[in-house]
Amino acid sequence: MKQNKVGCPRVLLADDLPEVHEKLIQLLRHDFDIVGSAHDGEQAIEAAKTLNPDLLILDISMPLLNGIQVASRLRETNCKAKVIFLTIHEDQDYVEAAFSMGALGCVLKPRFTTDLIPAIEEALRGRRFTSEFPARSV
Amino acid sequence: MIDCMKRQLTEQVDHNLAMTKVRQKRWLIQRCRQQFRSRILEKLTVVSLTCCLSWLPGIAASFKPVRRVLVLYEASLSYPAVANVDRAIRDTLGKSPYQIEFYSETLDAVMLPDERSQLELGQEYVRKYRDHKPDLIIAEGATSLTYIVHAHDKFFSGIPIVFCAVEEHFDRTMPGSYVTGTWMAFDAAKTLEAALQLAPSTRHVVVVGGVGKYDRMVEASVKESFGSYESRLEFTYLVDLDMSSLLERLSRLPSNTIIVFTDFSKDSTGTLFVGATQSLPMVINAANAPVFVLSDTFVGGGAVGGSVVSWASQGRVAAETAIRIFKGERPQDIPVLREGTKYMFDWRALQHWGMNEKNLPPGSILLNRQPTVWELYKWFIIGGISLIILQALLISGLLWQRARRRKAETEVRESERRFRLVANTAPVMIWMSGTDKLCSYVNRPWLDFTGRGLAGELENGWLESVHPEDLTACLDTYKQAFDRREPFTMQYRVRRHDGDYRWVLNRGVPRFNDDHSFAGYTGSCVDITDRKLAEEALSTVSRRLIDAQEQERTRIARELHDDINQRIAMIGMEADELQQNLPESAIELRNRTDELQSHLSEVGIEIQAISHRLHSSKLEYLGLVTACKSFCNEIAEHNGVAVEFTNENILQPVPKDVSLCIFRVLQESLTNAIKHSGAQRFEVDLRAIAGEMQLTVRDDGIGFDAAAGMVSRGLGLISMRERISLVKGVLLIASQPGGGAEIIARVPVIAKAGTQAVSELGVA
Repeated sequence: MKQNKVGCPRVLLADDLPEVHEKLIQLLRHDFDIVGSAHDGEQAIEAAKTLNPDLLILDISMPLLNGIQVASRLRETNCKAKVIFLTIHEDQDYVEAAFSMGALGCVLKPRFTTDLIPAIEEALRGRRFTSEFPARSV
Repeated sequence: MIDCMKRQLTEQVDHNLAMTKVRQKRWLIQRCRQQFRSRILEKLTVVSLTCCLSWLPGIAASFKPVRRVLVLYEASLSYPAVANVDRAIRDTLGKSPYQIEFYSETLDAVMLPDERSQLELGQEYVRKYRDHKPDLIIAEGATSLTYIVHAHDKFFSGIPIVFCAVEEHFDRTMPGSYVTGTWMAFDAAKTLEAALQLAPSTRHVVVVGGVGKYDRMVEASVKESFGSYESRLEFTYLVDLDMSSLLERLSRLPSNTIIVFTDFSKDSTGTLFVGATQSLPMVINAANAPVFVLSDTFVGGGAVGGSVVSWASQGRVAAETAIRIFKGERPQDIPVLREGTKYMFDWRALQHWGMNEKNLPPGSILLNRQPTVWELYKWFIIGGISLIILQALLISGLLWQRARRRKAETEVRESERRFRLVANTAPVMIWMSGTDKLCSYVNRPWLDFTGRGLAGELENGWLESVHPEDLTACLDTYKQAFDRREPFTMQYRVRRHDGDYRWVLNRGVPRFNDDHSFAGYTGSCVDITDRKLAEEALSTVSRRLIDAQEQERTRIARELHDDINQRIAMIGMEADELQQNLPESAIELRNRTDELQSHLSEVGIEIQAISHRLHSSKLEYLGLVTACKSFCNEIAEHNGVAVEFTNENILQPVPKDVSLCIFRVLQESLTNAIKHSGAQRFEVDLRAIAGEMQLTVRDDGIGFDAAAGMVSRGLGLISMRERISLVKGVLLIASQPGGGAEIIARVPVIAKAGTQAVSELGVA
């Protein structure tokens, strides 16, 4: 991990909850360059286009446009940012939807302290990462 | 000659005096008597005038002063011209304010032209009037004037003389202030002009005349007049022939010839003729050309006519001049007049010679003109035509009125036909009643409904079909509204043709004539049984909806309270316990917090499941196919059955309302099928076909009666059908008891502007 932010991967955060933003900044601020924060889908698209980040940490449940739709739109542009979904949906369907949108990671929010940085590292290497779902019945 | 005549006349008078003494005496006695009578009458008149003028003016007019007039004619009265003059003189003098003693004599200068005869006649008249002198002498003709002028001084001294019918060329230098009169002026030129107008192709003019003195005189006048025409017309004078030669010549005249007849009193052999009645008819009969004349007495017997002198006019003017002299004017103060000619023609002769009446000179007198049919029967024709026009107008009026009436009748019939057509094809029952409240008409749908004949429904017959329980209320409503002339609406049951009682809604309105008088009622009935049943069904559904809502609330409340709340309480207790007894080992603490985190995660998943049942987040985030597929997997896993989900051709974004509708129908139908069919295997297929989304849910279970299922399966099928109809789709249910079931939902997908769509993930 590089300590100096110059040359650090540039990260854009997109989540409608400010508390999540705080926790993410706390977790990532030392090793990554947090270039921006978006609070809805449309903001996320605008920020991604203008800031051109290396990474986009994207929530699924957002106002105006959800994370899946944002990823879909960005894929249609020439956005080079690697996308990692951060979601509460512990469901394989969401994971599949995320990967089908070109995302490289799918991290469950309750596990972000442990899973997010590995997911980012994998993504920067061009590999996929998924949080492990606990065994449960519907 | 005149001197000789005078002398002879005097001698003759003397000589004859003895000869006629006896006759003279008798005549004198007669004259004396007459004279005496007239003198007495004159005196009586004067006395009467003197005595009675002041108080009997009316009687004075009946006494006239006597004036003795002698008229001396040149020829005898057998000549029409002389007769005309005589008649005019008598008529004119007869109208004068004088009692006229009228004496007429003739010198007969035509028949007895020789000097001896004339002399004897002259002596006779001198003798005759010597002692019985007239007050005035009218001399007709040149011979008469000559005689009387020369006899005047000796025998008729002081007696004024008025002459007439004397040709203008007569010696005008005669002496005597006692003479006045009127010339007779022939105008042959005007006659010729008129003839040329009537027969423009004329090239030859034959002048016919006799050798008599008068004939020669007229001929001379004609010749003088025709002098100026000789350059352009060829003139032939047949004036010295005997009658037979003349007639022979006249019978073979060349074409384009006209004849001008002067007068013909004597031919070259000395045979005498009366012009108007003898020679002229012979000339006309023999000639092969039209004959034009110069005297009015020659017109009317076959001659065409001409500009003619009027003998009657000569006589009238002479008589008028005489009256002026009687009234005190002196002859020398009265200028000699010149009587002109006038146009006179014979219509029959014009017709005979093919001459056009239109070419006559203006003001022409036309004799013997046969009136046209129009002139004869003008008033009959006008009356007849007016009558015909009147009748035609009357008939036209009647026909018009009849046509109008027929049109009106046709319109009424057509209106009636239209009304019956409309009434009989209307999807409602129509009735009418008169002012007596009795039914007067019902339409075909009414009769079809009750299955009765028209006669059975009229008057009060319709009441027989009304349900006994509704009859009183029905009648009351009808009668009350009728008496107030107000519209009414009532519901009651009527027995249908199959015996079922059906609810009908009957609306009636009063009907009024053009004069606002009440005409009865018109009304219509509709069968509202189905509506009533539907209202009842709707009320049942509403109740069930409320029940379902309560059940769902109860379920959610129970899940929240009994499950979620209990679990959170447990996590709280565990956290409290951990806080109270913190393990010393970090590993132990980590394990305890991991456990807490795990429990919290489970609670989160449970809440997600509740939320998912209420509203599918996958439908929103991941699209219809993923949501449906996920639902099928979940329900299959949950119920331990096999659900095979297939999809095909779902490419474009599906509108949000459509995707929600299909997802809900899937939820409802698959849940119902699993619950009721008893089957273990289910097939779900979602595909897009020709602009439609089609969802098929199929099972091989026990099946059900589709109609009964609408009721028995509760809200399921009804709510599905309602949802589908909201998005203009259809729900098809194919099922038979024991034969499985298939529910197909078809919804049109028409992307509308502004419609939110959910992208289908994985393929978009």
